Amino acid sequence: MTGIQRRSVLKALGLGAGMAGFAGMVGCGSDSGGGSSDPLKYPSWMWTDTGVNFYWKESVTAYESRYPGRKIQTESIAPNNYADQITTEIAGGRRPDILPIFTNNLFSLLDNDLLEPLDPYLAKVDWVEKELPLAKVAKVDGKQYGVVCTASPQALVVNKKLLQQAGVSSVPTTVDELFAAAKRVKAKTGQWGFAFPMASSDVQNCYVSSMQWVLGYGSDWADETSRPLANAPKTKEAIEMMVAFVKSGVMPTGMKVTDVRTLFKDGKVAFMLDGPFLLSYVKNANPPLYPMMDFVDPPTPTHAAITGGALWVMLKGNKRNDDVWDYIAMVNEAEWQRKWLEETAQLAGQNVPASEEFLKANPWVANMLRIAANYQTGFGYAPPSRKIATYAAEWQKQVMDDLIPIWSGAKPVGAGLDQLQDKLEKWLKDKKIEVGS
Amino acid sequence: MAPAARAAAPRGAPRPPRRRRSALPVLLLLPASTLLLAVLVIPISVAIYSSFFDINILNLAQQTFVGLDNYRRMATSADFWSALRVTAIYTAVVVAGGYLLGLVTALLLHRPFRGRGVARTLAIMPWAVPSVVAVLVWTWIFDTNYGVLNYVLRSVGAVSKGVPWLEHGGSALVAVIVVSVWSLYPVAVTMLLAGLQAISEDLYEAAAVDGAGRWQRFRYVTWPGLAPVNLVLFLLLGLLAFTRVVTIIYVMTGGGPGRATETLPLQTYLEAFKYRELGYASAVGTSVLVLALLFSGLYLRLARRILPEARA
Repeated sequence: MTGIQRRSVLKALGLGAGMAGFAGMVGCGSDSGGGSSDPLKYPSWMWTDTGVNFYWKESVTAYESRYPGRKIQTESIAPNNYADQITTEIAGGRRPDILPIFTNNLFSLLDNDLLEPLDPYLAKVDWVEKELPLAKVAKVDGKQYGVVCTASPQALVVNKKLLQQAGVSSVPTTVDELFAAAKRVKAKTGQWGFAFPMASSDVQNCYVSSMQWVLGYGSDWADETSRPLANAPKTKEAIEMMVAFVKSGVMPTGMKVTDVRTLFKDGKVAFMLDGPFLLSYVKNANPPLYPMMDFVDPPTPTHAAITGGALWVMLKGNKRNDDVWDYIAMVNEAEWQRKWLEETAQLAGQNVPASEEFLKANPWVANMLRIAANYQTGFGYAPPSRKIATYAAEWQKQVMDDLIPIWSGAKPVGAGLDQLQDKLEKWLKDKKIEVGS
Repeated sequence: MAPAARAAAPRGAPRPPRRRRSALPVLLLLPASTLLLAVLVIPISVAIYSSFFDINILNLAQQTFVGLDNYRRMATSADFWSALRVTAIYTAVVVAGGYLLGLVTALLLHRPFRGRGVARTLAIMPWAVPSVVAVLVWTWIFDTNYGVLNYVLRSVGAVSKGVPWLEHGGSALVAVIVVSVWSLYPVAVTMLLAGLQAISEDLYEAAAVDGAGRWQRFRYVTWPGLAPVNLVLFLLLGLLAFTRVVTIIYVMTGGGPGRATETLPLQTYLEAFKYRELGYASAVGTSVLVLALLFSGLYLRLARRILPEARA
């Protein structure tokens, strides 16, 4: 290399290093770094949910006016991508401040030592006793890592208008009655008698759908010791019943939960096993139909109502956690909790007595409150085994990979569930999850 | 100057002026090189490096060296081989379909007719439509209960009830292939149209004078004339189908039902961001890179043998 070449290359490298340094500074500058004047980052799947987004927007306004100088920057993320995106943001150093999470995402964060225990904060407030039992799932080794944000028992949502048109006189209380009523609705009105999501691109909602039936028949996809129960007799019974609904033609097939809910909102489905958010959706998007809605116990043998819901958590090491707690504490005040129940018709984190006037206008809410109190099943979205819950998303995918072909008739129920059982056992072995302890 | 030439130069002859080296070319290349280094070389190197570690995306500080374990796991994973098979079928059919549809469209749009400009714009529209929007529309077209496709099939008596296109493995793969072909064929149209316009009209006239029919003109004038474009186009379509079209499958089927539509790039995404296994995902990603390089290398080698233009 000649002297000129060397000088040129050195100059070029110097320039390159300068540019890289500048790029680095710009890169560092783009991260807020959690300075006290930066807005609090607040991601949620609820910012675009028409049934509840007004409530959260009001809470932001109220917080900003209560604490002048503090700002909140919201970020809307689709529910299906929420866990993935939050995970990526945390990994990439763009940590959220105010963080609601789905209950089934709790353990992946906890196991990676990312969560701050909330006990010192909870010691300062007087509403802890009023919290719903769901908060127990966030108590690990004596420490509380989450506060209930919203709890949603899933039960039978009924379109009574279609029942009247079909001449169905009473709301079903058993699976057989539900099947008969669904068939009658289809035959008499041409509309769908029943619906549940079964699109392979909608794994979590399909899994939740399966849980309603599997828990409803007294089984689960695994027990507390991580032993898979895919081919247990009660699981088989539950899946056979789901397949019977699909085969009978009383329900639309292959749809995502959003599409199925849209059909329900449009008055084209008589029954769905779903949460109160479906009624909030109808109330906002199709008000004339709302008075004809009901929310009753699941007609499955155990009547178990799974309760997913969401938790407020705080990330470890966040310098703004005191500010974050102020927000969590604010929305947990009695006024905001009542507002959540009475304006969105959904369960908040605490037991709040609803006013008589509200219950009169929304009679189904009394049922929801009773069901939530009677059929708490904790997670519902993931198996009861803590070890499996850490891998909730992968577990759900393992189950749904085999279950959707069974639902659609591509695989017979018995052989399909046996195959799933073998696969889950192998998966547990690969993950080094000990079974039976 | 080469030593032999230097030796042959007569003594006392004036030496040729020494070429002045300038830093300008290096400086001009620097921004692009820095960018490539930042967005390509460094991430690829990090991915290859990561493939030898056990890494949880939520705990990047704790990385355990596992040697070739991730590759061993990959080699014994039925899901990996299933994804490889799906990827091969998907890529082959999408490239063939995208090319053929692109060729037919380009030949039609090359002929003069009224409204050709509008037709050309419409032909490349699918490329401009965002993938997610396109997939949502196509998902409704394929919908079992309300889809236009099933409506048409029922109307003409081809089926008695709705075909569950996205609910069965085989038909779901067909569906994602159709959408991918639809989304990629404008690339072929654009490049082939440019290629067709570069073929001299004189050649067609000479062929016509020699009595060549339509097919012979295509066989002996158009096809050889498109050879240089084809060389690049097949490679481009192959790489686009092989590595880039993840959104379509992810939004449409999520890789299901079962794993019937899960390709290797989608598996890489799911392992990294859904299951948080960054080390294993890096191993799968590295295998995608190696396969893409092998495919490109073999293709170019083969093309050089077959196409004289490629040797240039």
